[in-house]
Amino acid sequence: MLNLGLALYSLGKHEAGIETLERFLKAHPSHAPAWLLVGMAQQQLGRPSQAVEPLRRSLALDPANDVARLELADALLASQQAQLAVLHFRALLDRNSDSPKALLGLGASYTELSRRAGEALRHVAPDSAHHQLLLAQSALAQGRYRAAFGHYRAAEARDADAPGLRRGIASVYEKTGHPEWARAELRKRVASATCDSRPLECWFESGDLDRVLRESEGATTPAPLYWSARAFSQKAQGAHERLLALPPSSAGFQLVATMEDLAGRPQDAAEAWSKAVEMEPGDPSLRSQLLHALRAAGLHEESIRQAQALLKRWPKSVEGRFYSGDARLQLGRVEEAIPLLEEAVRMEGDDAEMRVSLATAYLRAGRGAQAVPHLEKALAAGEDERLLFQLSVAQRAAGRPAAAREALERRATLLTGRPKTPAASAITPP
Amino acid sequence: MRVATRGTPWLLVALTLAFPAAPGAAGQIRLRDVAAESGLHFELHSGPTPAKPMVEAVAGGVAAFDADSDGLTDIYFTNGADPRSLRKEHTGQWNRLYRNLGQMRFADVTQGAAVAGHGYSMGAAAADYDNDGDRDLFVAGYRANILFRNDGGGKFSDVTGAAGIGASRWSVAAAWLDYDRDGFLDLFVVNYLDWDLADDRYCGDRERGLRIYCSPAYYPGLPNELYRNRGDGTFEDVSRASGVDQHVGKGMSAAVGDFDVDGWVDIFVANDTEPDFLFRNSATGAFEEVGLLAGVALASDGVPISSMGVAFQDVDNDGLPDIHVTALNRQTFPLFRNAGDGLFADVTATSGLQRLTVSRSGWSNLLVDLDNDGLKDLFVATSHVNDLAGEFENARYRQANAVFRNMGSGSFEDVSGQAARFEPSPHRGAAAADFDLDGRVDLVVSSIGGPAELWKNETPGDNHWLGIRLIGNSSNRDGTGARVRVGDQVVTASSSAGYASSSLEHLHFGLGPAPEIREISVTWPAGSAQSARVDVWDQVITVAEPAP
Repeated sequence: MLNLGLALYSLGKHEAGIETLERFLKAHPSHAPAWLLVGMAQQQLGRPSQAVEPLRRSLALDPANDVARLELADALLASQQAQLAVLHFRALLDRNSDSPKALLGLGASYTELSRRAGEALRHVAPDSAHHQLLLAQSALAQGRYRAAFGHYRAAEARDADAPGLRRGIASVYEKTGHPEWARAELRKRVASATCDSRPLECWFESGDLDRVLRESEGATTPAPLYWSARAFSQKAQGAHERLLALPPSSAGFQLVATMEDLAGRPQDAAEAWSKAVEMEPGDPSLRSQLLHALRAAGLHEESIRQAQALLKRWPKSVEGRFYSGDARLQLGRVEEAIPLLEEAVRMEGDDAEMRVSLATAYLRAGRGAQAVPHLEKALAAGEDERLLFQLSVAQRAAGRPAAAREALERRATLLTGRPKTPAASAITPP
Repeated sequence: MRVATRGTPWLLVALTLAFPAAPGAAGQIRLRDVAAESGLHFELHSGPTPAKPMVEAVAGGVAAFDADSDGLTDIYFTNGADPRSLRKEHTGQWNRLYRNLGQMRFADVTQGAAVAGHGYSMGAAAADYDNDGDRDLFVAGYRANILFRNDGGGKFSDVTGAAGIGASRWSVAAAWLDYDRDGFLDLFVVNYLDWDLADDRYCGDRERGLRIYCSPAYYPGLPNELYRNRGDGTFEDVSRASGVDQHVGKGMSAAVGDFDVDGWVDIFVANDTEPDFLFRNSATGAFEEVGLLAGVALASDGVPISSMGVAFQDVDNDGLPDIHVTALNRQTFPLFRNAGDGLFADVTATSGLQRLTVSRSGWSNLLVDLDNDGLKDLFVATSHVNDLAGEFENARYRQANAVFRNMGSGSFEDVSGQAARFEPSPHRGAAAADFDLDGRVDLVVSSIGGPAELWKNETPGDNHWLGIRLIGNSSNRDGTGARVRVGDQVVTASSSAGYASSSLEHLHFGLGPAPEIREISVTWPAGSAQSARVDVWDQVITVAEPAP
């Protein structure tokens, strides 16, 4: 039965594999490799929270198994348990300090924890100087200098001595070609922080990030939330820097791809994903990421090629069908796209993106009526101006003008109710 | 010439021109750039400069019209200005008028005609707005709109202020139309962004030192303007009264057509990164924006595109004007087929145009019958908006123009490669006219930082053609807005052309290899209709509206 379970897993028949292995485990509950296979199959099926328990059991039975620990850490991270994931990634690094995958996972875990602290800060004090500072630093890192400047000014209005404010504004001036303004900004007097008056800032500046995190744990006020967000972010950066200093690896290219994507360079992101796939061709999730990046970069011909490669290796791949169909749709090969997208939707009916792609294909093929149920299902997840326009066109094609008008009315209501994005501030002298 | 009349008296006042058809094989569109040898030495000065002020990217409108009333179509190019002062600091930045000397020869007559203009010019729109028989010119620009009145003899006067035309916004294009059917052409001005040089921002990648033109998403849009012609040389701003100013967009071009065939011309506005507008003329002096309802505001994926040029003509010869729009690569150049019930269907994919245009970026788009087979083909002046596009995406800045032949079955094929030796260039405006009067429609195209192109149509074959020149009487003198039918072909008379451009000459109809006596009908903007059977071809005939 174990061999059958292993064979099913190898063939990508994960549901059947899990069923078989679980039957085996009833009789052999101490079989660590079987628990590991169940966990990995759950991961492959995109169910990380269901992967956690079998992986935990596997690791408990075989604590030295790095594969099981890595799988568990990944599953914990993907199931919103980043704090626990950190422990396992660190344990892996204790055994092998140059493990690219552990460094990638550790950085991702810290990034998630930083994000959560920032989210908590937004929740408890959205107008606070600390929250504005965090937004400013995020914008600065992404090169959105006007937005950063606006947030720094908002922070200044609340607290002229807010930590790092002058340096932040000076950075914006430097980046936007105003070095003399930067110097003037740095000359402004600020109240100096001491370890007595602002201990978290003091520890952060001295590099004692663990103490910052320890002391701010469980806090619900702005300052500790801000400093824990900063500390986690700093730790993530440290892990990423270590990873990038290692020889080229799949994990390294994954990190580069993510950074390129965040920097708004989709072509470069796709290239990095492509290198990650080259280094680890057996990982279908990397191929999915590559296909996603190729789609974002508009490299549709390459997307078709990669999707075909994915389908050749994993004939039952939903992603392979979807990306192959969607790329054809984008290239105007609508009639070729429709059967692939129909099959993808049949296999993964809950995926709104796939349904929207199929609906768009029907609309482009002049078969708008067939788009209606897919758009309605996609809209069940939430109102969307784009989908409501498509629905109006589809309803009209279906001979339901009243429903078409209603969709447009819903679209208008949605747009009316949407808060207007404030204009980015101009960067003005100190 | 025999003309069988029916219904309203038919005033076919003159058979003005007659030319032989060109011999050769049919079906092969052939264009040759003769700009250099014709004396057309225009260069569009509009960056790209390192500071990348947004005005630079969207200049380049062209107007083809008979400026001196000699029967030959002349060419007017708009031009840029100094990127810091936004003023024309030297003669190289002048707008230019080239007089057609005949035989595809042109001479620069800018100074004598007094049409060099001022400020950063963008678009041009020609029309005889004062009904005096010579063609006037509106130039749209960055806070520098100009109305040039043609004083006769090829000389113009700047009457902008006296006429009451505003010049305080960033206008890119304009369209002439008689929206109230009072016999005088009104002016629709297309406005783009609330942008100021002093408030310009850095866009691109500072780390790599790659500065690009900003997306319009960073700046607020503007409402368009409608000026009603009072008939005394002045205009009244009716933007508010007509409801036009209730709709803020990021307009780049406008085209005029009567999409619901109710006799009142409607306006389509191409908006950059915003839903496009279709202003339905309600016949009461007001317009209703129905773009979403009619299905033309967005393409089938529901996402706003960077709409730039627009053509509003009947593509499939069903008598209803369709709408074609150009945009950036990956957005395709959408084609909306008029379904006849006030609604349009996006047929970009089924017409083949999605496949043919997905990797192109287009500006001026012209629906003209290049091979005289009775079907309007599609010419597109192409280029990406950003000179560093290739650094950021799978795109090229300089692109070769495209010709898509209308196959007559609702589909197009790409014949660019066989039609001409198109060179990649940052093309912008384009206009169509039969400059050499050989019965084949030629093309003129502007290009940023490079020589303008003049594509002489040398398509071989035995296809015939008919030109119809309109002279309005109760209607505006140009006949703008008239609906002219020749056989199953329908053309709405309008000087609007593609991106920020204008073509004002006789209406051109390809007749195919075996012309026959055809029913011709004209529905004038003032409401009267004429029809006749005509047995002439390969010539331009003049049709005058009967006196009331």
